[in-house]
Amino acid sequence: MRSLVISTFALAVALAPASVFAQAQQPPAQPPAGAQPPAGAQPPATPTPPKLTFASNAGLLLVQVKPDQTATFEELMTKLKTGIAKSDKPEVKQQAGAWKVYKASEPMAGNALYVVVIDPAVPNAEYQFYELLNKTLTAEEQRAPETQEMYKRYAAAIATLNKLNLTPVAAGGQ
Amino acid sequence: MQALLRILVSLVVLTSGPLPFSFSRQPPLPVPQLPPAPPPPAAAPPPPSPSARVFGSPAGLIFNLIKPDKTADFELVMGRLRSALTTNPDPIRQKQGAGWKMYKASEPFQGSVLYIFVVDPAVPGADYSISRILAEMYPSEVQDLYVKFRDSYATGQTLWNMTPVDAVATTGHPVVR
Repeated sequence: MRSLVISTFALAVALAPASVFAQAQQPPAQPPAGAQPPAGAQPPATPTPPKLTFASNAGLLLVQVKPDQTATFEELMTKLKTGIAKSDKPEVKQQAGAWKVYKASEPMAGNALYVVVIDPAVPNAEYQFYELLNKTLTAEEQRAPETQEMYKRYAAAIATLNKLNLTPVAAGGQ
Repeated sequence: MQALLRILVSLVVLTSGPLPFSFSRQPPLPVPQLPPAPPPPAAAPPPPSPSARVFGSPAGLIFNLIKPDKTADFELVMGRLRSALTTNPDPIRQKQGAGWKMYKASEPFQGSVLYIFVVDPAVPGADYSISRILAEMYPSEVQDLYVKFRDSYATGQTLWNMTPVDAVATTGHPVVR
């Protein structure tokens, strides 16, 4: 039996420039604003627009993770999935069960490749990892110094991130 | 029959030329074949042919770069593929169909339209060659479907073996199953 394990070199080359996708995004180097320690009495925070959204009803994230940081990235994914599942915030809870995370057998450009498939996606909801994770934390957890360190570790694990808006096709046959 | 053979020979010639990424991409497309005779009931399943698309992992992704002016043809063939998978009495094909999702990306990719197949779960040892699946169910129209299918590609397919990443609540540590 011949297993068609294909080298992903060609696709890695093709995906290397993040600008090839119209809405490719890089992970932020900074933790979400909500995780910043409060500086005394502040006015109520105004809602900020989501940093990573899908305009369609499904989406895909191609995440290149540094090869020695895969455990860190998988820890992030685990925290996200469990946090979403137990969140009582409606805008977060509606994402429950829609995330599927895969790791490719073949490396890409020297990194480990993870693919996050989100189906269904909630249009214009927040899908940026850190912002979303921050929504699953309590206010106390958000302010904790270790949370800042956690976000720094997560941000350092990701090499590149590309986003695709997807539309299901041929779902019912013809 | 001779006409059919001529078409098949010409397709072999068309698909065996040098590829832009010959060392890293799939051969563009397999030549469709008429469905093989069913094996005897007790026989072991035959091994996939050399041109088979087989995943060696619990899940998989297939990237398809389609010419912008051929998306209608490609989606027509995908519709027939979906029907072929759901109506095929073979339980393997039905399992393949149940785990096979097809998406179109909104973002253009290198002047082409990107279609992504997410296969989860992948059926171990099953052949995901589209032309073969079509030939099994639509032998009389497979040539027309194949021409549309072949001509819609800007480049060949790229297949990735994928493993779902799960969380294990009992240990708190992520694992790959």
